Amino acid sequence: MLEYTLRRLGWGVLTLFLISLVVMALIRSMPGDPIALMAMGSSERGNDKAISSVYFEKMRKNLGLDKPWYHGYFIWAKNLFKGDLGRSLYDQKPVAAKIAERIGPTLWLSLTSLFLAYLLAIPLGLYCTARNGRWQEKSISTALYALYSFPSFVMALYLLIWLSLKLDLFPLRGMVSDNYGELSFAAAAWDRFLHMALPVICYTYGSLAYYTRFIRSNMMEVMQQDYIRTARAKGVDGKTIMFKHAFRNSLIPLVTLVGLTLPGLLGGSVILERIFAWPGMGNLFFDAITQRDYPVIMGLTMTFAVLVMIGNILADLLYAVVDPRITLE
Amino acid sequence: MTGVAILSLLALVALFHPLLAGTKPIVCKYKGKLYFPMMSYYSSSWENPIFGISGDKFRGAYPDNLKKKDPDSWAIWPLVYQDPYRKVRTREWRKLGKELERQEHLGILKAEQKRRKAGAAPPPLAAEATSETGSGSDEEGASGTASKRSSKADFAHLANAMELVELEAQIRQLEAKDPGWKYPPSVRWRERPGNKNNSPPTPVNYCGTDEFGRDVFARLVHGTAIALLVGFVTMGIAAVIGIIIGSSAGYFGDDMLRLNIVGILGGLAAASFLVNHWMGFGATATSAGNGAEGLTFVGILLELFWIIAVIAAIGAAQWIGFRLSEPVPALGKEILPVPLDLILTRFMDVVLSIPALILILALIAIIPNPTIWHMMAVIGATSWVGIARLIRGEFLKLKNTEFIIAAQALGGGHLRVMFRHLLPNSLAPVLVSISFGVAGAILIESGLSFLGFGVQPPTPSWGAVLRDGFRDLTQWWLVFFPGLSIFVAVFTYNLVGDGLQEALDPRLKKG
Repeated sequence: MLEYTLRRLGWGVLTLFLISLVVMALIRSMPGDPIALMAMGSSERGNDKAISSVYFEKMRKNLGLDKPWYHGYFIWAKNLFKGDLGRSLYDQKPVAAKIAERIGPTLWLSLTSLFLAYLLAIPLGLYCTARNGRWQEKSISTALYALYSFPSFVMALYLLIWLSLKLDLFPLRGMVSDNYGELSFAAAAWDRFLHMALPVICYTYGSLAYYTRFIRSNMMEVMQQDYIRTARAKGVDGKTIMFKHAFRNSLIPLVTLVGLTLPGLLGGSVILERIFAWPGMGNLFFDAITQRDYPVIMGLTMTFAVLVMIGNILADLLYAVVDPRITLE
Repeated sequence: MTGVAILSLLALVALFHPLLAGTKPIVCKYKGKLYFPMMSYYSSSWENPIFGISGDKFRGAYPDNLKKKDPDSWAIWPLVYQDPYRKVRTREWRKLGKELERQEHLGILKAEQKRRKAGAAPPPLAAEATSETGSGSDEEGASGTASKRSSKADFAHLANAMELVELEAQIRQLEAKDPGWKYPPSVRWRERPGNKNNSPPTPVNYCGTDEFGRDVFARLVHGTAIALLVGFVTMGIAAVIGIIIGSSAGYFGDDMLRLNIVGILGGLAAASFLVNHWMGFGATATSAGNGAEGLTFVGILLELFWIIAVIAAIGAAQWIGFRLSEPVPALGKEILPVPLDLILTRFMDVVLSIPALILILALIAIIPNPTIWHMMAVIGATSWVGIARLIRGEFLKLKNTEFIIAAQALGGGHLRVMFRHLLPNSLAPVLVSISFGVAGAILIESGLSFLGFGVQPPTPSWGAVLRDGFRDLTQWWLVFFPGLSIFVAVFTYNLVGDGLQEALDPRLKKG
């Protein structure tokens, strides 16, 4: 077990190294570096072109952008070993601080929606199994299937138009109102709730549909097992079979699912965060890409990649922990 | 089944989009020849030069120009006269509308004349005349008593004759205005208002118009073709890459391919060449100054070509070593196993762990003016990992079965065993994955276009329309209709994928 974990971790580190190399090469090859973008902005403001071009050339030199990409990569990797992710080229803030500042809002959304999704999906999935083949199950399945196919950004726009614009129930964008600082505690909490409601709905409904289908299909598989038939033959009542015999066993694949959702928790959704102007990781990522802010892109990519890696290893380990039939080689 | 039905409907719309909505005739006869101007919606280079700037300068306005420049021309029009790329204006119909009005007016007058001529012999009663001729004969309609009846009838008769003369004059006048050409009966529309900018749905613009006055319905119909094309081509590319990489990883494993000494030397030379080549080009990419164009699309293709060339070179070196093993047996000894599976699975892990968005955005940003084809290539190049993994798993499962061992024992080459024996037996799960992948590709494309990283503005992609709607949410029709289209397409492909899965895996069938 320990050996397996260590081997997986070793491969993971190698993969991370490759990822950082590839991503650095890719983003440094994107047309237009941050200085060029700044220069464009400055000449639009009507500054003297000759002076600013000298200035920008100097700046480029200071930031090391005049050197080839692998040069920049060495510096970046050297700093990473010291635990330093570098500073944003755009506002000179440390990348780690920038990410830390954005993790909170993203977690607010993703954790709430994850909690809600499981809270609703487990009873729904069980209900569907119990009513399998009847109209209740069929209508719930169809509705969930349609929801599952409904793109979340389209849903976000529909909800914004209908609930925010037409009925004026929810605020249009942002995480808190402008006057958030002056509100009393209860009013502030209510304000946060209102701002969170729509994004959380959009984050939740897709995974809710997915989890419900997942739970139902697992339950259906477990219900065909011999030990269920045995329990039934012994005269155990339906409820006990459902909750004690079947449900516990159907939880095994669910554990892997938890491991695989880990990167999604922090990654956030770029499109949804942009629509709701939510100050999370997705929005930071979008801005970093449009501004060609190399250290921030690198920092975010590595965060995501580490999470994917840990999520995968965790899923495999958990699988072996909950299911004694599986042994790790 | 529903899925397949909707899918075929979507495919029909996608295939025949210029027949449904457009401003160019499906078929027209112009100056004695048949043309198909609608073909230019498929590819703008297919527009016949006779309609362009170098020809008769139609400037996209076909209805009036056709008649003006060739009175004998005729045309069959799309079902909805709307254009996805430009605003449709009133003047495109003006001449036509006037002519139709004239014809209609003439018809009414002639009918009236006929009726009056027929009714002239027995002078109509005053009361009857009122009810029959209506508003056109007010002076006749004056109420008369029974005693004045005969003189009244005489008067009416006289008036009738006078009006007949007048009618005839009017008819002659209208007929003189005949432009000398006739509209075909297939032209049914009347003069009607051109598109307004930012208009909600109206009987003219079924789904409203955007800020440039372009018809959203036409944009969506043309967008269907783009969406389906993106889905198919993307997954086609992904399937080809995935099958090649997955099958070589699964088949060759870690020790089936062994290099001989010449092959090793060739491999080392090729690898050092590649490293040297790639080290060089970061330098040229960023030092080129303001707005430097780093990698280009062609550049990437070139790099891919180099990689393939290097692999081919290693293969050639290996082959030379094999041939040389007759005189010098030591050279032909296959000593170094290539851990192909290890390398390729690491590669898959790398691609999988880079967030898809950054991979796609970085690749798209490299292309100066991304067209829809570039988008397909990029999305396809980033979404093959799932397919490769499936294929690899299936190959690993099947590799040691009897029929494969038999095929190898019979002398079947690697390629033959891989693609004739193993691949057909492992395609079933890939089909399911492709079907879901198409839905995913449509989502990615519309999402990218929505973020503004997608196709260039005039292209009528669903995501692009949605983006216009997001700028001003009060224009709900710019969000509602494209959103619905995306949903229907994604839903359909998911249904088809589910159906396939059920058909291929009987265990999943509902009891």
